[in-house]
Formats: sequence, C-alpha cells, structure tokens
Amino acid sequence: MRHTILALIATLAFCSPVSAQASPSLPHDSRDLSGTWTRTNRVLTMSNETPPMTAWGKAKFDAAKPVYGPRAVAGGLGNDPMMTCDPVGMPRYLFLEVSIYPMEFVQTPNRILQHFEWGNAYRQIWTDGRQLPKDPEPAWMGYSVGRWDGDTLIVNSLGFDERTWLDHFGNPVSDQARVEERYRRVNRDTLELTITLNDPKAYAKPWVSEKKLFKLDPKHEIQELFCVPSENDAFNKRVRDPGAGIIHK
Amino acid sequence: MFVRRFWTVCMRTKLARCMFCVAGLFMTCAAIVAHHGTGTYDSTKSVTLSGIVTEFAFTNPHAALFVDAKDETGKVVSWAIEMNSPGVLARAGWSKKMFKYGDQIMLTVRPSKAGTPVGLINRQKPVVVNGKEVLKADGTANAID
Repeated sequence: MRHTILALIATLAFCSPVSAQASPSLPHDSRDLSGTWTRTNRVLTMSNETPPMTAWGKAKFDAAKPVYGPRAVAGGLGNDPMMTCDPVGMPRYLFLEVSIYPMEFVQTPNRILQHFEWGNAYRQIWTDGRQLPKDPEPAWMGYSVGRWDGDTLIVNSLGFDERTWLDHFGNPVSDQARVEERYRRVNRDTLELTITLNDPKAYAKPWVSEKKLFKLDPKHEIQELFCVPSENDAFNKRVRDPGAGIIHK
Repeated sequence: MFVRRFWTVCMRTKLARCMFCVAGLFMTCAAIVAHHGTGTYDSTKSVTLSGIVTEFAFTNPHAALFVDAKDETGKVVSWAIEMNSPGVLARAGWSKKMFKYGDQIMLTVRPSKAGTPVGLINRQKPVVVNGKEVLKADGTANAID
C-alpha cells in the first residue's frame, strides 16, 4: 500500500500542471515575460465547452477532417493544414502539444516577439501605442497590439487568415475573428493566459478559454523545427499515407 | 533525477505494483505529449519488431525509421516507423547517428489501424541496436558509439 501511494504521488508530481518546482519567492519583474515557456494544460483548444456554431462555422467544421479527437481519421486521410506544412496561424500556436513545443517571449521597448518552436514561427505584438488597423489584409498570425494594464499584458488581435483551423480538432476561425489574450506572470515561474475569441461569423457567442498555465523553462532553448515541405511530402508518401492504407507505387 | 531515484527504489523493492504504476505513469505522460494524431495508430496494440535498419530519415517535422523484419512466417516485411521531430528526439538524447543502414535492431511500435506495416515507435520500450540497449527505461538514450 505504501508503495502504491508513493507511485501515485510520483505520477502526480511528474504530470501535474503546477509542479513543486515553482519558486514564487524568487524575485521577478511581472512586466517582463522574457524567457521560454512551456504550457502545462492538456486541453488543446480554448476549452472543452465549444459554443454553438453559425451555419458558416458548422460547414467549415464539417469539411475539416482532423487527425485528433473524437472525429480523428488516419493521418493520410485527413486535411489538417498542418499536414502540408501550411502555417499553423494564431491562435492555434498557443494550443500545440503540451510540453514538447515551447514558446519564447522576446521583449523590446516597442514590440514583443512571440517565438513558437513548431514551424520556427514568430509573431509581432506591437506595444508602441498604435491602434489596430481597421481592415487589414488577412494574415496567418493576424495583427496584434499589446498594452499593460497593471501586471497584465492585454493583447488584441484581428485580421486572421481563415484558411487556418482554430485547433487540432478542426474547429473554425474566420477573418472576422477578434482575439483578446490576457497574460499575467503570477510568480517567477508561472504565466497565466486567458483567451477570448469573438468570432460572430463562426460562433454564435464569444468563447472564453480555460485559464492556460505556462511554466518557465530556462534550460529549454528553442530549437530549429521547420516544417520542411519536401521532407514532409516524403514522410506523407512513405509513412502517413501507408499508415492510412494508401500505398504509393 | 526524481524519476531515476524513483526507478532505483522500484528496482530495489521489485514490487510488481510499483512497476505497474511506473508503466502507467509513462503511458499517461506519453499520451499527453504525442504528436502523431490519434486516428492512425492502434494504441491498444503493441508489436515488437526485430530486423535490419534500411534507412533512418532524421527529417522535419517527423523522423522515420525503416526496418526490414521477418513476420511469423519468415517473410521479410518492410516497416515504416514514425517518430517525433529531430528537435524533440534530440532533447531525449537521440541523434542522427543513432541508427544506420545494416544495424540489427529490436524495437516496439503501435501498429497502424489499417493493418499496413507502419507503426508509431513506443519510446518507453527498449530499443536494442546490435545487441546493445540504446534507450533507458526513463526515456533517455545512451551513446552507442
């Protein structure tokens, strides 16, 4: 019995989102988010409570063939844009796999760069006081401005390219979407994020995320992880397609 | 460090219950971090392959290992084995030099649901190259050169 309890404690310590490694007593600047962060929450989308979709949103959702979740098909039969190395786009970069693909904040006086390991992609958050453009050209990352409200960084974005998916499950996002992210460094090692998606073209009401938690991971340097189209194409032909029963001669 | 200490305790006590919990721990965490979709591979099945490496493609965003292994009738079957990205593998101590053409290899995969000779590597199971285990039970690799 003693050993069973020990094993359970070990399991929780190993997998728990907020591990005992957090060091809230160490000094930090709550307005400096610089560093490499690894998300600990396991939900790979906004939250588990998907709001009702509009007819447009439902049609886009139905056309998506994800390789994750309850509607998952074999990799070679799916149409996730990631499978052909299309940019993942925002806000999906924030939902990528737990613990293995970190992101880094690089903070400068007028701009914060958010660097995502997957795809070697970065995003600009303008903090020089500018306003959001009224009708920007759609972009994979959208267009983002940020400001500090106390110790909370509020990032507002619009102008997304609706070819992206919101998440691995094929939930939609449209070019009418507006996203608000609220980041707060609650202690040296812990960053909280709450996201609100307001996309009237795709959803009947705003979608507020669960509270996402990131852990500072100073030893984790961002590695070069391009999605290389030629290598990915070979992988699809030799592994992913045969895995789905599609054999190339 | 913690995992290693815990593993040492397990080895000393040799308690099946404890070992079972460790296996459960790794399986749970592996399920959380897997980046291969859930539709292709049968997570309820496990196949241990023993054969010859024909190619190791250390490519992005996924690495792949190709192995010729005999089936139960003695026929040689060419398997394609999906892995994580080189960056993720590198963090676990893997390298491009880990497998080369002609290596004798034994490893365990989750086979495709389609029944084709394609699998997802189970990195929590031993990987043996030319008679030497290159993966420890805590998921890190030994140098093999």
